[in-house]
Amino acid sequence: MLNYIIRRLVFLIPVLLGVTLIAFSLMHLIPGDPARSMLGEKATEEQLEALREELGLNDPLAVQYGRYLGQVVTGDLGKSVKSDISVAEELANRLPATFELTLFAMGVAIFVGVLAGVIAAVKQYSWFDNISMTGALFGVSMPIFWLGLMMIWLFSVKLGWLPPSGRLSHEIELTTITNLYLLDSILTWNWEAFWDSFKHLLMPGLALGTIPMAIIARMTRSSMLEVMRQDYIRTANAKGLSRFPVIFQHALKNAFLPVLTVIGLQFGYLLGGAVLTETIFSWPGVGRYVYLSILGRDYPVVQSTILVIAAIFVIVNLITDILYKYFDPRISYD
Amino acid sequence: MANQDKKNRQVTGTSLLEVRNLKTHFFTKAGVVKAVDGVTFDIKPGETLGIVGESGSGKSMTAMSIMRLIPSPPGKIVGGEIEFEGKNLLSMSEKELKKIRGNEISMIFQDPMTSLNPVFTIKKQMVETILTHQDMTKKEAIDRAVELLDLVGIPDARARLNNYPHEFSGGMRQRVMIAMALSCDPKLLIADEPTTALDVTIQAQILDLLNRLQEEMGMSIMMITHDLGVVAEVCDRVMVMYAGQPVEFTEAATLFDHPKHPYTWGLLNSIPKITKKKEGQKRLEAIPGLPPDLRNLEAGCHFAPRCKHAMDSCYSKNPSYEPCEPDHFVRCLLYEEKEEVLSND
Ligand SMILES: Nc1ncnc2c1ncn2[C@@H]1O[C@H](COP(=O)(O)OP(=O)(O)OP(=O)(O)O)[C@@H](O)[C@H]1O
Ligand SMILES: [Mg+2]
Repeated sequence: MLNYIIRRLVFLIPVLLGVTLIAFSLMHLIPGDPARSMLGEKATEEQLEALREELGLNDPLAVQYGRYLGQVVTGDLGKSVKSDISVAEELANRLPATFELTLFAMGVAIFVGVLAGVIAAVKQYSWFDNISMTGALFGVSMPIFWLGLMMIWLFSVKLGWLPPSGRLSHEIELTTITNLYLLDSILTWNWEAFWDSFKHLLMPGLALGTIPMAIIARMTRSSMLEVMRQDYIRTANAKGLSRFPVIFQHALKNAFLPVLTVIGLQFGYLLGGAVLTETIFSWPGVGRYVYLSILGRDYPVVQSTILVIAAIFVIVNLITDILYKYFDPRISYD
Repeated sequence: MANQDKKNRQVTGTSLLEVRNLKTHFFTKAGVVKAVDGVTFDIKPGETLGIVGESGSGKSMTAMSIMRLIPSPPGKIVGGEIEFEGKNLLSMSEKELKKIRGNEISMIFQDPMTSLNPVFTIKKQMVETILTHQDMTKKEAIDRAVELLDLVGIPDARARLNNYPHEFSGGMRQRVMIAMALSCDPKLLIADEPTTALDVTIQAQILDLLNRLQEEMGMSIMMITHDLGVVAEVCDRVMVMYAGQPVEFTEAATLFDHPKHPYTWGLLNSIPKITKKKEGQKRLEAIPGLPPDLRNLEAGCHFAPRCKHAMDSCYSKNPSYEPCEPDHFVRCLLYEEKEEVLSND
């Protein structure tokens, strides 16, 4: 097992190298002069030259790539052309925000999705099955921006229950430790901040979790239906076990494997791809950072953030593969 | 033929299980499948009852009806009685049934490769069975599991507990299934074709094991099989089923020596081991034709279209299931007519 993890980690190196190459080329594949596209039409020739010099754009590509690689390896992700703030510093603040949002969204999606899928399968063709699976069909095809805007309109504008943007109200004090606000407020026993950050998290979390929830529910249902027909379920019933352990242990542990694949993919995807949700709810996370950087043509930021997101994606996949072993002992990693 | 004499266990008179006129039907879109349609038999304490019949004749569904595990919908027990130690299984609540399943009546299945849960260790699967029915600590349950694995002949039992099913061979898995089924000292073990999926040598080992365990533990066994060789090996009495109905029911020795029903004749003729006894290497004779579609059964004897001895009346008159001799039930007009002839005299 440990061998396997080490092997996989080693295998990450070429993958990440490939990602650096793609991220690097991004800046150079854009037609025209990167310096000009960053600084805009009004920039003077001196300004452009200064930026080129600063970014080393005058050197041969190979040299540039080598330098970039050297920086990345030492943890230097460059800095924003616009704000001069280092990307690493910015990400240290923003990654936890995205992480919190994703964890919340996936937590709700997994809990509700799996539960709904199991009940729908056990009570196949019941009203619950019909309603939840029709709901899931809508969920999968729901445009997030529309859902998000509708939520803001209803819960913030009309009802005034939930804040439309941000992570925490200005007047609330919170000592940060992990930068995951829910966790920090629990750790510092700050219930006011907990409640406030929870209210901020609720809408973006649900908006972001809708699609994965729907996918997980449908996947769980079909997988459970398949498993419930298996011989070992008949054995479990014939042993006199109660319904609960038969369904939630014997069946679900088997049915969970394909669901786990979906969860892993969705998780990685959300971690990097919460762009839309973070933008609609002004959530100060990585997605919004990427979005703003692309708008502002802040290429060093885009380049490094993509690299980080890709790395996270790959690591989440690795964790998924390891969890597989827990759910299916037949998988051998040797 | 049947080696009853090898057995020294006690078969007593009163029935442990009594099934009377059991009817289990499946209500499908294509029609009502009468999978079990009027099955009557009993099992005595310590006895091994064989149930034989072609594929689809309703053997498994009879067993599943006794366990009250018929998939519903589409299945439903629509009639009859099942009494276990005088208690009516058909009127029991799910809660009461759970105390019977795996505890007083347990079951093993045809395919040991798929009957154990692949994602749990043997330990988990055995211990949960024991703890469901017995008041024990987890440690005691583990000890009991080791004892049981020893009993069914799994070497190095304590270490093997931590293995997953895929780490055992087919024969070993069936032993694990047997150990699990016997973990609460059941009074009745239902074995649904326990050797069909195994190699011939392993088959014999499993049958020997069941024989030995029955001698030691004294439970009754309901042995479902389509193999008359298995019947000869282990059964005291046999019920032959055809199209959801019993057609003949008697002592195993009697069935081999004086079979009454033409379907039983056909079955015996299709088994080389049995037939070569007298006539030497007689050619294997499969019963021509196919079993009827259980959705639209016609009037008369269901076997008539395949029966060499069918008379005109067989196609119109339902034969009744009567003893033609004491303790020898048969469902065939050949014997009813005879009786009529006799009574006319
Ligand atoms: N879920 C179901 N829906 C409809 N019909 C069913 C269902 N389950 C079983 N049947 C029918 O019940 C009949 C009896 O099946 P059963 O499994 O008892 O046969 P069997 O004698 O055990 O055969 P085999 O030797 O193949 O195991 C079959 O004809 C089958 O088509
Ligand atoms: Mg069967």
